[in-house]
Order: sequence, then structure tokens, then C-alpha cells
Amino acid sequence: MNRRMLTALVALVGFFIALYLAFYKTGVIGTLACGSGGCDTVQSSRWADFLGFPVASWGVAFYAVVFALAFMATLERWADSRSLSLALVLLTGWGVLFSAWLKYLELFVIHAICRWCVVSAVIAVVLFALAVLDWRATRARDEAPASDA
Amino acid sequence: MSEPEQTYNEGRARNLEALLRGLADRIAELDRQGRLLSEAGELMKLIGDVRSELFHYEVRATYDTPEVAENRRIVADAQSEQDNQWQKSEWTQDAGRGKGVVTPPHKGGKNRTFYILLGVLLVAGIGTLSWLATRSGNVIQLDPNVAPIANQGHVIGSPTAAVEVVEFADFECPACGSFANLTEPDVRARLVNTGQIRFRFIDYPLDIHPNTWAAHNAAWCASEQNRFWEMHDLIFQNQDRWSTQATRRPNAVLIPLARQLGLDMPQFEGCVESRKFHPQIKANYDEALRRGIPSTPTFIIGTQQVSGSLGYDQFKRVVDQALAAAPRGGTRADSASATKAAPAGATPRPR
Repeated sequence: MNRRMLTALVALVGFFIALYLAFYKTGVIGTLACGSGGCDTVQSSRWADFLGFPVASWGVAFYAVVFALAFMATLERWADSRSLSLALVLLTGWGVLFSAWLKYLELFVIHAICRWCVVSAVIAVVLFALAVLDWRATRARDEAPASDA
Repeated sequence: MSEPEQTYNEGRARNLEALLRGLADRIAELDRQGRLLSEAGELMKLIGDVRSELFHYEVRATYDTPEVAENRRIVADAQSEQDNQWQKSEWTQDAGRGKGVVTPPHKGGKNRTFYILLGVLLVAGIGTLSWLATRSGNVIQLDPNVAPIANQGHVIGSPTAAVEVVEFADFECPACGSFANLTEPDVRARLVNTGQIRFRFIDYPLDIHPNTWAAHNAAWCASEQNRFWEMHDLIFQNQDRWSTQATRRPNAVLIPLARQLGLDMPQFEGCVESRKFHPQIKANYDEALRRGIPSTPTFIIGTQQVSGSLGYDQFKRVVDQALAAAPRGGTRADSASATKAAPAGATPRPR
């Protein structure tokens, strides 16, 4: 199991969590399994939309793209692709920043914590760490032949 | 290396051992200096020398002729050719530690593990979400001795219907909106208008929805003019426009909705601004708390309580059970609701 495979699996977990929250937001699922009750508060707040779409929907799209890129990167054809590594770093880095902004809103503006949102934020950080490690390894692999010459 | 000799004596064996030790020492030294791969050329030469001498040693030790030994080597190489190719592409340098690490192969056993985990996650995720989306909530059998709800909320349907369905709902709750927009039109057309059930709406404005009180009050204000159900439908259909996340002034959206219905606007606006029906809404809210209603929407159908945004088939299933258990002529008399009920034949509104 390499980092890219791990990235794909973790992104898939994030995808289903985001989908769960999006289903709640659209009324498909009646109640959220959220012990603190904060999920309802956060999901009902005026911050639960971003650019006209529910934040959870953005999460679904984010994790879907990360999963797709990471899965592609596990294929032999793109095994040494530095571009895919860099794309994953940039995308997951954006995800970490967006999650940090959402955490700020929960703590200091909405004053409620949604546990699923916390799990999603942790997943975003893990994805970013994996992407950075993969990018460094890819770069080192690319530079190794040059030093042999 | 020189041409192989016909005999392999002790001196040459010791020389081979010295070559092996020299190679091992050199690798260890380069590793300590963090230059393991930067001296690849030198290592290749050393390994080549050692390999050649090992070949001669093997030929002499087994008494093979050089041709037989070479054939054996070719066969062995062919058998391990694929593995050797992988090794060639997998050895890389970990920039963080400066030690050689193996990146996992892109096919084979480890890939199989990845695809198995991927499959398990997909099945578990899709299965769980499907179950959550289609479950009919936690059906609870109520104590038949608990007093039925009467004189509260708003009722639609025949007073002589065999079964009464009570809904505890919050106008700002997404699941309530989903039920009202997607399922309720069918419920009214097939069950209410056919006289099988009557439907009672009870306010349960949750604390997490700051704008919902304005919506509940607006619906009550419409009920003053006998237009509760029409307003109910418009409020749910426009939930995304007046909800807390959409606006801080819900009445600015709710009042134009009332105007669409042709209500007496001075009366309606006065009712809205004075929050006239907050006491009645609070009474319904307290009733929901007293009954321990767990979430919205929650339905009491006969003696069963079920939560969640039910689809029509799920809803009908529970209704059928209640109809089967209901005595002829209805389970209870229809008490006058707190407001005037809309006519049983009210047109269901599509989404």
C-alpha cells in the first residue's frame, strides 16, 4: 500500500461523509447521527452555503476529484507523474485552508461544533500530508538519475 | 576479469571473499555518508567484478562446464526477469532520510489489497447511505392508553376518516421540506382526498432554526383567512429563500408569498408583525417536547410513531397497518383544530 493508494482510500471515506451531510442538507436523510446536536446548527446556519451551493456539496466534489486523481496516480501509466503529485498537493492544500476557515466559523461565529465536519477537516489534513510526502518522494526519484551521471 | 581458469584453488576463493567484503564495506561507507546512490557507477563496477568471480566459483564448485552453468543462469534470469524489472523501477531515494526505500509495485499482491479495500469501502459507503436514505425511521409502538392529540394544530381531511396521521414538523427542517414537497402531494391525493386518513400538522419549531418561528407564525396568520394549507405549501416550496442561511429578514420573503394567495394583506401583515400566534405555536412545541418527539418530521400514524422524511410507499405501508387495525367508523372523533381546517378536497400542490 503506497501513499497514493492510501490517499485514494482516505478520500473515499471523506467522499461518503460529505455525501451523508449533503443528503441531510437536501432532506434525503431525516436526521444526522451527531451526538452533540451541533451538526444541525451548523448545517442550518447561513454559512452552510458557499457560492450558491451547500458546503457539503463542495465537499463531495472536492473528495471526488481528490479520489479520482489519487486513483489515477496509482495506475502504472501515471506511476511517476510529478504533475499528478503537484495537483494533489495544491488541491488538498486548498482543502485544508477551506476546512480551517470552516472551523473558525464553527468556533467563533456559529458557536457550535459539527462532529462530522471535524472528521472531514482531519481527513483534509491527512490527505494534504500524504500528498506532500508523495510529491517529495516523486521529486527525489526524478532527481536521483541526474546525480548518478 | 581474466578468462576463467580450469581450477579454482583456495587462494582464489579467499580472493573472492575479500572482494565480497570490500563491496560490503564500500556500501556501508557510502550509506553512512548518505551517498549510496550518488556513486552508482563505482558500485556497478564493483558488483560486476564480484558477480563475475562468483560465476567462476559456482562453475568450479559444482563441476559444471561453463556452458551448462551459463544455460542455467539464462533460465534463472528468464524466470526472475519480471521481478528484476520491478526492482529496477522501484528503488528510489527517500529524500527525507537519504535511505533507499521501495515504492510498492503497481500490480500484484499489494495492488490486490488496495482494490479489495476500495471495494469494501465502496460497498460499505453505498450500502450505509442507501439504508439511511430509504429506512422508514425508527418505528415505535405507542402505548394505546396515551391520550390522542386533539384541538391542536391544523387538520386536513374527513372527520370520519378511519385513521388520523399527526405530523410534528418544523418549516425550516430540510427533511420536512422534502416530505412536504415530494410525498405530501401524493398523500393528500391518494389517502386524504379518498377519505382514508385525515392529516394533522403540529408545529415543532426547533431551536436550531432561528427563522422558523416567523414561518410558523405566517402559516397561522394565513389560517386566520382559511388558507393555512396553501401557505404551508408555499412556505415549504420556498424554504431556501427565507431560511436562516438565506436571509436575516424572513418576513420580507413570507409576506410576498401571502400576497400570491390573495390574502387580506393589512390583516396578514399586522398578524405577522405582532407575532400573534406565538403562544399557540409554543403550546404545540411544548406538546412535542412532552411526547418526546425525537426529530422532525415525526409522524404518529394510528398507534405507531415513525420519524424521517418518508417516501409515499413507506408512508402508505404504515398507514395500511393502522387502517387494518382501526375499527370501522374511525379511531377517534375529529376534534376541532385550533384553526379552521382547509377543505378535504384541497388541491395538492406539486413541487
